[in-house]
Amino acid sequence: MLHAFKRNSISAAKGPARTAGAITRRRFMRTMLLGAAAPMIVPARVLGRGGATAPSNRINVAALGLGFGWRMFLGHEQTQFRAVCDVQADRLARAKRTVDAHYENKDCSTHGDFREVLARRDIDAVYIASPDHWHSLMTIAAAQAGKHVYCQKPLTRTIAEGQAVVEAVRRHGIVFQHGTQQRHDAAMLFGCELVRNGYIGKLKHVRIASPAGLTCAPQPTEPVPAGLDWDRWLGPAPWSDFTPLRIRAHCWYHISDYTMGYFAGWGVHHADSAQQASGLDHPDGPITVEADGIFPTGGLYDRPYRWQMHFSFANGLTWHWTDCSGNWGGIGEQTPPPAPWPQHRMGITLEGTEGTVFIWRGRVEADPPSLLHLRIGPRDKVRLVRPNGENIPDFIECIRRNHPTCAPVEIAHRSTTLCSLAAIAMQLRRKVVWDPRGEAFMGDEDANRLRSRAMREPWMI
Amino acid sequence: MNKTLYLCWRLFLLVAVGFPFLAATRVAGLEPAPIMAPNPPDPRPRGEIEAMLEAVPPPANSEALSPLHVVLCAAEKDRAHMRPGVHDYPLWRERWTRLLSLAPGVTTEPADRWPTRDQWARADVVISFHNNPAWNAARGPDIDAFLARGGGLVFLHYAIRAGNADRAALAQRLGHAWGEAGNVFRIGPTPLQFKPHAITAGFPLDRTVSFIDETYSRMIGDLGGWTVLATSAEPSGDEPQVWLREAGRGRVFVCIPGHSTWTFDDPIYRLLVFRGLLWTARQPLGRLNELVTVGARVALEPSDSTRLEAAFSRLRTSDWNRPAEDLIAIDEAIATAAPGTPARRELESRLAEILGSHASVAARQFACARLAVIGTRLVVPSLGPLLAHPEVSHAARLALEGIPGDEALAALRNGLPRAERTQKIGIIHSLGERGDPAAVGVLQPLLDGEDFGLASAAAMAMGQIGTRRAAEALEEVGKSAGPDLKSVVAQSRLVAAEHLMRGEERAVARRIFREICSADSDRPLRVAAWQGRLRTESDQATELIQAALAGSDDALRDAAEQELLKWPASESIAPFLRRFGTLPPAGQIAVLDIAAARAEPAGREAALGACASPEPRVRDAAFRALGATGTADDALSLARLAAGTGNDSSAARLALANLPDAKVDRRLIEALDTATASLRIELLAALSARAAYEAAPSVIPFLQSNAPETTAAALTALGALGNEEHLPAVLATLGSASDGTVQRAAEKALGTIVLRTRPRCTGVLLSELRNDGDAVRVSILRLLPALGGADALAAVRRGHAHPDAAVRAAAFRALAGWPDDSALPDLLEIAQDESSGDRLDALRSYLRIVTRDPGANPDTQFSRLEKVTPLVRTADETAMLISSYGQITAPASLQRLAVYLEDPAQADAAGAAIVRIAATLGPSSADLSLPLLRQVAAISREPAVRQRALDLLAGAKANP
Repeated sequence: MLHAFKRNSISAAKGPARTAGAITRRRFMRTMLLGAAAPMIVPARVLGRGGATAPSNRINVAALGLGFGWRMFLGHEQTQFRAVCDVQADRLARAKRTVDAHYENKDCSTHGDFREVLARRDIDAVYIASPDHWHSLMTIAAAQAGKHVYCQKPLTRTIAEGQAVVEAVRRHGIVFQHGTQQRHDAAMLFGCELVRNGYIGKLKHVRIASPAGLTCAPQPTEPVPAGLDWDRWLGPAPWSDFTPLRIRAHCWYHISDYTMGYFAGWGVHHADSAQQASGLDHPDGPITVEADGIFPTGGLYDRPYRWQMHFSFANGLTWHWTDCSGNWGGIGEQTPPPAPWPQHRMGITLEGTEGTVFIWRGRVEADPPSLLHLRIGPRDKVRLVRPNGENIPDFIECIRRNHPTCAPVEIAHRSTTLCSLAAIAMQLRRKVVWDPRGEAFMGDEDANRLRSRAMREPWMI
Repeated sequence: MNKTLYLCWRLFLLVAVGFPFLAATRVAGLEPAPIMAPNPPDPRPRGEIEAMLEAVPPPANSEALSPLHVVLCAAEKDRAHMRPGVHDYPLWRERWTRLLSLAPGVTTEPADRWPTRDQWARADVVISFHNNPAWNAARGPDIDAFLARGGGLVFLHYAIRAGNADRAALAQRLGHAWGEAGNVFRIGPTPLQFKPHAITAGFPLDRTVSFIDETYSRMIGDLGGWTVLATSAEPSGDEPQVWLREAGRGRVFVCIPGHSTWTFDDPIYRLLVFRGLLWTARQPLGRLNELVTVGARVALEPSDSTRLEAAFSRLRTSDWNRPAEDLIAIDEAIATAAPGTPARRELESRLAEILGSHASVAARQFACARLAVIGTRLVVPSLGPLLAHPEVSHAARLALEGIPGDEALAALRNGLPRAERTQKIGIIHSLGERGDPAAVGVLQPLLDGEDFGLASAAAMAMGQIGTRRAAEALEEVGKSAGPDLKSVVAQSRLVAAEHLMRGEERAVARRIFREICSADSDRPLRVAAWQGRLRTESDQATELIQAALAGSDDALRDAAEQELLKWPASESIAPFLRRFGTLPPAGQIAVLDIAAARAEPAGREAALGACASPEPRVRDAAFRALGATGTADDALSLARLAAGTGNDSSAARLALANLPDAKVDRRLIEALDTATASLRIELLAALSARAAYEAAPSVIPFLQSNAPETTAAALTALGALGNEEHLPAVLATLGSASDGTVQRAAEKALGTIVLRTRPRCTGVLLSELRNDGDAVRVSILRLLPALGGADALAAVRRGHAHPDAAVRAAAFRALAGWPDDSALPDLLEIAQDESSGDRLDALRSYLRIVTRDPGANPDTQFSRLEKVTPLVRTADETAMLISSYGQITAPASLQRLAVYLEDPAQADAAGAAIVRIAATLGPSSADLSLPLLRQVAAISREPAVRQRALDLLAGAKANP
């Protein structure tokens, strides 16, 4: 079956139509032929909701960016991996081999341009595991093409990008899930329920610790390796010469061109869980943020590698978020914290007037310990949705039932905004006052300017 | 503060305070308070402060200092000083509490208006800054008693106010008080003339030190007997502003300046008050020197300017992958230069210079990123020409997008014709991002051009601009555009319509939404346009949603469901429920899911009806909805369904567990007596799942059921719901149980209740231990390690002497698993008993308990191991012991292991243990470890151990 190819607006408007990476007529035809050679597949949604998972009724998935976790979909019989997309040819070829071996066929198509994938009518959903600077572009383009999105965290690099993503997802009614999988952790959810149902009294203070960042020596500029589309890898980020660490996982997390820094790259997990435990998912947020970061004085990485952050909320709640030591990947040096900076315990400690709850992946601790043997029942005010145990089945089920996921885009934006606020406070080296409903800084024009960041041409959202 | 923390603290002070390049020490949350009033004083030069600090150095040995507990007393801002930046008592308390807490050995606590009796009793120093709202003569004895026991009292500024209450009584205690019409204040330059005293050591005495604050004159009281430290020249003459005296065993220090918030960030003021505070506490006056500059207002020294100058110089040649060193000096300067100040303008100018130079592209990117934050119209002329530059066009747009005003917009518009195609697209995007209405005229011609990329970029920018003119231009081009551009134009029209509906062009927006929604648009466009219709035709919203739910367009039905999920709680979904029966299955599922998500009671009726639907997916949704909307009346029906074997039993069980009605539990409890066996089991499970704790007493009778399944279900429920009061019933059931299922359920319930109710349950368990039979004793003994404590251990010891072998075995297991080291003597005793069958297990447990705490004192651990060393008999026991020694990082362990190194049978194990200890101890035990490591390297048969020994030896040689 030949599907009518229709360029979506992002691809059409933003692509350098006559440059190497553009969708040309020849490439377009090749895409169509690929579709013609493949078995007849129709999007799952045309068969109605909640149907059986016959092969033709699986959710057809594609990966945009072959970073962390795309293989998770292979283990789920309700999904069918149809396409992989990346700007590194060797990675792309390896991924195709993996997918084809799993399905024992040759059907997985490969793409260097995500817009080709989004133009395919047989794709229901995309998994975005590109570097952070691509997240907003890809998510918005996917929403405009009507594809459901699972996007890795953090959602975006800037507050304005986050707002645009929220708007696009809302406008086109797609199912969205953020890669903050701690919302699927039963132990952490139970800890959140203990807190939100008042079992530790009134929540007063939250202590958070997430892995510290790295510093890295200056790097040699090297020729762009064969098979890497460097211009496409950079995409909306500022131009720079190539060096291998720029594209290495857990290394680009420390470079401001691509991310806010490791406190967001990893730390958004805990910011998100702390937000959930505090009952401040949406639309509330902090009203003041003080964040002190230690920035490298030289070298390739330029994001803060140590930090102390204070958040205060309108209800009197306060958060203190520190870094903590430990090797979490990436190449570079980790330096000890400067005394007297405290480092909290890795995880989230929630202090109430009558007790304390600590949560971390797969773990919940409580003081008094007897809280751990309570059951949350119908009379408890807050009973958090227990997703299907894991993030991917939950995403698939939400697509089938047309339901919001437990990590929807509004919350993803709020969690990521916590990191953005801290990044801005660190950059300006002062306390910032935030209006969470209006999403604007109060009395601080410098900070307001940092809410957005122009994309490198020809990319735009 | 432990020693490590203390050393870290000293290191911090050395780096942060002593390092001359730092303008002021930064600690999170202790940056200088915002300047909230006009004409602030200049920050103090660092050199001036350092000279004063050096006059009274900090004590040589901070660890030897006595603890100092400071109570900081403030009050809410008073009505006479509501404007920001002055008399900010709460801010002072918050900041100085954090500040003083940084000092070793100093603890702080806040007080409100007046210290409590306990605070007077705890404090070494009470420091007050407020309008003294709580003062009256009855408070005087608090001060007197505090001073009589040697306390230190510090009063700042308006804290000497007596108001209308007992002014003389306050003046008698503080020297002066404020509170009569004749008192005079003066706000402005406050030059203080200091007098010689230990507190003012290092202060200039031959000239005044200037503050911008407030002085008081002609106050009430007499300073006879007081020492005046500073005066100010006032029209009434030289007026005292700082004074002190000894009062019995106590001391009083009063400082009038403190009106302005910035004064508390003045390092000289801090030095004065800190020394005064320490003087009242009879502490070394340099004890708080380190805090003087933490977050204080200290001027940049020439060295700071030099650093900034060097950073700008290096920036020009900065490279992407080898960026210049210390560029953060520029960011730090930007952060401290307030908008509109000469410093900010200077930085802007320096960054603009980079743009116009031959600096590297990376440098110009760097400069533009900073100008995006601080740039003004003044740098627009420098940025405009860069728009056409392929390498820095993006950076220039980054800056121009941030700079407010028409100049930046004009630069973008003017840059468009000169730029190449790719840069043009970027500029178009920036114009859209800024929503520049004046750009419509520039962009419109591009819509009709042949370049699809430019046309689509222009369309998207027009959508973002979102004026009526832009929308009309998009509509026009949409009529003739090819299919690709048509899709982009439709997206852009939607965006434009969303802008228009927020303004006064709602009708235009409505027309656009209708057109796109009704046309043969793609699903995403249809969904977006339908949502737009809802917003612009809000009076028709119910009909639109109903039509979508009833229709065959699954895209709109999904959108309708999502819309209803977002409806405010105040808006009922009853209209859709009324037409529930007319909906197709997919529509019914959507409505039921909405009813479930909203827990809307009106959904119950539809859910009840749909539970009988022939369509399984509808029934599933119906049970979900019933679980959220049902009442107590549905409880038994659901329980019966759940107890049955039909397809819906799981869904019914889940619904029953979720039913929100508070009366549900009572209804289930009442049904327990008359229920059939299978229904009763279901009811018990439901009560358990619902966490119906009050049901526990009602469950107990069923522990005596003749049916083991019922008894087991009751035990499971009691385990989930019971507390320590229910333990005797569980134990009784356990004692009489003959059925294995019941026994297991009883033991599980016992464990669950104990874990939930410890330590409250300890007394009950120990009491039952005395009464019950041996089977129960065994079960209780198993649980006692989870409780711990002396009473429980004593019970375990008694159990170990019990005549019944099973009880003794259980008691031994309890000892072996004891949570702390209090069971070690018992285990040692058993290990010493050659005739005991538990000897080996006791030895093993003893060794495990001794070595399991990595933070324990190695000497204590070693001495404990020495007690069992003579008891080992076999090679296996010896290997266990060697392994235990290997976990104790003490030189004595090395000596002990040396003995085993001589035994060929144990040499390998001993070698591995020696290597581990030597690696951890490091050079401190080289005399002992090096010969042993050589021996290990020579004789060990384990290649890895041998190599590790050689590595350690090589390391020791390289770093003697």
